[in-house]
Amino acid sequence: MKKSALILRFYGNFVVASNLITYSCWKLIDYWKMTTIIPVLFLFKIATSFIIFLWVNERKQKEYFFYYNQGISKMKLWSNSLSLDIFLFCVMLYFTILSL
Amino acid sequence: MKHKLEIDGVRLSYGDKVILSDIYLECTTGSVVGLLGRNGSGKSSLLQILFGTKQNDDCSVRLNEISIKPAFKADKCIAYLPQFNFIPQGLSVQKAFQILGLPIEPFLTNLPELNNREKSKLRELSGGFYRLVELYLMIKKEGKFVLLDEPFTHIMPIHIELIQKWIEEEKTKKGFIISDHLYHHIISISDKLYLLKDGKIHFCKDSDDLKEFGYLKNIG
Repeated sequence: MKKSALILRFYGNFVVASNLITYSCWKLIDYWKMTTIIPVLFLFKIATSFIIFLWVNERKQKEYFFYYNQGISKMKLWSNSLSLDIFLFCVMLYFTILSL
Repeated sequence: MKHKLEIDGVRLSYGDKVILSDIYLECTTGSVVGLLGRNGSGKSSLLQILFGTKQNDDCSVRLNEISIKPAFKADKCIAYLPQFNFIPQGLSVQKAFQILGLPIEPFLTNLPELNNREKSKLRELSGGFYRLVELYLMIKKEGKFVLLDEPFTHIMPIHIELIQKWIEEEKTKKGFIISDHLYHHIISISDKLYLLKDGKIHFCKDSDDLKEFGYLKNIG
């Protein structure tokens, strides 16, 4: 299996929690119709991503060895999956701003 | 072609306690290296340093004289079975084989008890079968070397024979480094035997040497 598919599988560990946060940010912007809160929501997203990292990192310590055995380091797992998550958040922001 | 995996210059200490000091270990394809030692002697740490998942700046890990640090990133080189379950328990048996790129049929032939359970999640298997799936995948995975940390622990005797058979089958093209407390299984399968004691590595020929180093009790 390709490494990208394995990274997506790892992202699956926190995709629900992470996208719930993205979804709630979208609802807040949509409700207030204000773009000025975007920097605050962005900081909120970064902070919650950090909490998710701590939570998953604690729970999945042993599973890292599954990915190491496929040649994927912990750094690569996190940098790729969090980048994807932030990218999805930015896409949401972009389309929300367009719709205001 | 024979391949040689080497590690040297390993030093590890926690506070004042020296765990590993100037360790050198080598393994060639076609051989099994047994690694014994008391609890806390540094066996698992040494395997993790070799695999590259435990930081050790001073040591050198080489494959055929070429540095490969961290070794786990080297393509199709090394597989490592830690002493705990590590394959995500939400994966099905079939999916685990698919990800590792191995056919499931030979495994099911060896373990008919798991027939019709290919679609079961790993968490639904007993601890022993979960471990056997992991063992089989690591032993048979494409690569040149396999590091096994406590492969025989929590496995029933008839399945230990099966693991030894899998290792013998793969030994023709791979090198193995195996650590376990079930020393008689390690002795029976190893071509070379080492004992970690007081931070040093000692070559042992047989169980008499293990008694001499105080790993086994000297009775009579």
